[in-house]
Amino acid sequence: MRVKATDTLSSVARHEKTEKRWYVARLTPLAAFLTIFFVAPFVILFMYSFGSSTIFELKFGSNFENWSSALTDSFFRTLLFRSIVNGVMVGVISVLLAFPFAYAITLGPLRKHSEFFLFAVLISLFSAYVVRIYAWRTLLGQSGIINEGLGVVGLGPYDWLLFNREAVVVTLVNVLVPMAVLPIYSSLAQVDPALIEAARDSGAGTWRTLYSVTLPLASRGLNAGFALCFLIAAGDYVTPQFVGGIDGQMLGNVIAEQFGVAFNWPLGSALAFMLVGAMGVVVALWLFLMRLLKFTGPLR
Amino acid sequence: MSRRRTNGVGTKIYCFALLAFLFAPTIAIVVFAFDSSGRGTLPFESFTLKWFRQIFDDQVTVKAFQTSAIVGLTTAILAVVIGTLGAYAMYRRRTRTGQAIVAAAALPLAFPYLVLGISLLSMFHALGIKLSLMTVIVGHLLITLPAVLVTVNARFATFDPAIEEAAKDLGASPWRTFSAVTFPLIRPSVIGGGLLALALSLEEFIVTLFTTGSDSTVPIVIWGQMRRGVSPTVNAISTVLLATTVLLVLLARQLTGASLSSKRLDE
Repeated sequence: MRVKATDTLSSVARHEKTEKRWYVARLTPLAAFLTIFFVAPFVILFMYSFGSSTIFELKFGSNFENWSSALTDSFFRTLLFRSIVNGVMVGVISVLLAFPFAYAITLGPLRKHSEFFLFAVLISLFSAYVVRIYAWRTLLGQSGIINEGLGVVGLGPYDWLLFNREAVVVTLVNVLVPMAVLPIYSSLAQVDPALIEAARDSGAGTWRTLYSVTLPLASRGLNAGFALCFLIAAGDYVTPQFVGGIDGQMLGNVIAEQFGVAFNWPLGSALAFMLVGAMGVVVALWLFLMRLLKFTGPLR
Repeated sequence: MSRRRTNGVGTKIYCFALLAFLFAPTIAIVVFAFDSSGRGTLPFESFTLKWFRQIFDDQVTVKAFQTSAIVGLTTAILAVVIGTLGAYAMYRRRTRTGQAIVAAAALPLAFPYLVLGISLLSMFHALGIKLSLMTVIVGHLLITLPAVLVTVNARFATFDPAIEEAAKDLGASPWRTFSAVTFPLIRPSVIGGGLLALALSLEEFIVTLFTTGSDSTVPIVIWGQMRRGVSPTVNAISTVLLATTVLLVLLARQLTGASLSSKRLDE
């Protein structure tokens, strides 16, 4: 039986049409979910920042007081500054700790054992974050392992190990290093070792090779690693709550409080958007700095 | 030559030291879960299982494990369905809108969990939706979808289009092509993605805290005991949670590793 050309054409067109319909059907659940549970909540939270609240009720409105107190109150400014500085410190330290590790298991001496090390990092990443904060509180406490250990050599116990900013930074770095290792690992895994050999062969020393070849090639991973660690750290409030003490409190604590006992959602919402805005500025600055240092990645 | 060798040793020591730093706190927790003193400090008195017995006698903790299981499994199943459909759509046809939607699914990771939690709480409140396990699951989906999408997308990146073409040429309908040909091939990655989603859901704390009604998940019980000071059962509960996570990640890795090596089959 011969198939007429027109038949084939119309069947192709029909096929194209069903294919398109299937495509829309497959994407719809994801698109609908994100619109309803990601975009809409943000819009509503933003609307609340112009609202007002009493002990009994919460109203939408066009009230700019929350924003003006969020932006002008020096208490909030201090906490915002601390959140951002802590976040940047955690992000930078995590990337600095993660890079040599990721390098060693991709291009360095441990590349044959990358499976094991990567798996260990994954386990660490998925270990419950509340548990790790709790662990640090017991480790750093007056009668914790670290003080006990110092006691053996005749030092301590020191009570300043816990309940301060440093404890917050150490705990967050511990929780977030895996978050930096993974993206750096995946960008370094795509680097052709021949490029690094070539740099060495043309007389570049270890540092020069690192600066002009390896770091630019790993820039995507460095950016993603920094951004993830920074965003999570600067927005955290559970770590400061448990190991931060009074001096370690961050803006997240105040925001969480407004949605809890203080019941001032409008103020909490304004503060939350202020924090998110400041985070955006920091990430943009980081990207700018990377470009300034010519750490821009391979074109893909 | 000798210098290079010493450099290698330094790097190796560094890598093990970093792993030690990462794992020391959790290992301490696990060790003290078996200590009869229950103080969470040295010296280790004697080995006991009484804290584990105690948590399984405690109704609140048992209930929390059940709640976590329900939330985790429901989240994983829904995330797998929504995520796999999305990844499959992207594999079949790359349009700008489609790419934008899949990229948008990763956006929740760019916001602090605190902000995700309060925005969901705001919406549920504004619409008069009562907080329940359903609202918790919604929050968990937001966080776990990227993991499923990444895992399944990675599988499709090495998927040979000729396989589906062949099925179609043999007269299979789109549904049959997917169910009889495509799905069996991507199944390990789909299950792997689901296990990662389950692991993420079991340990999630911040979004849960803002979206839960009267139910407590395991991390919330841990948090509650932490707030009341050092309770000897926290170590045991944490150990059970950590052991579950290790198992899930191990399984997921095994499955997705298998899908990566079956790449050769497609060629």
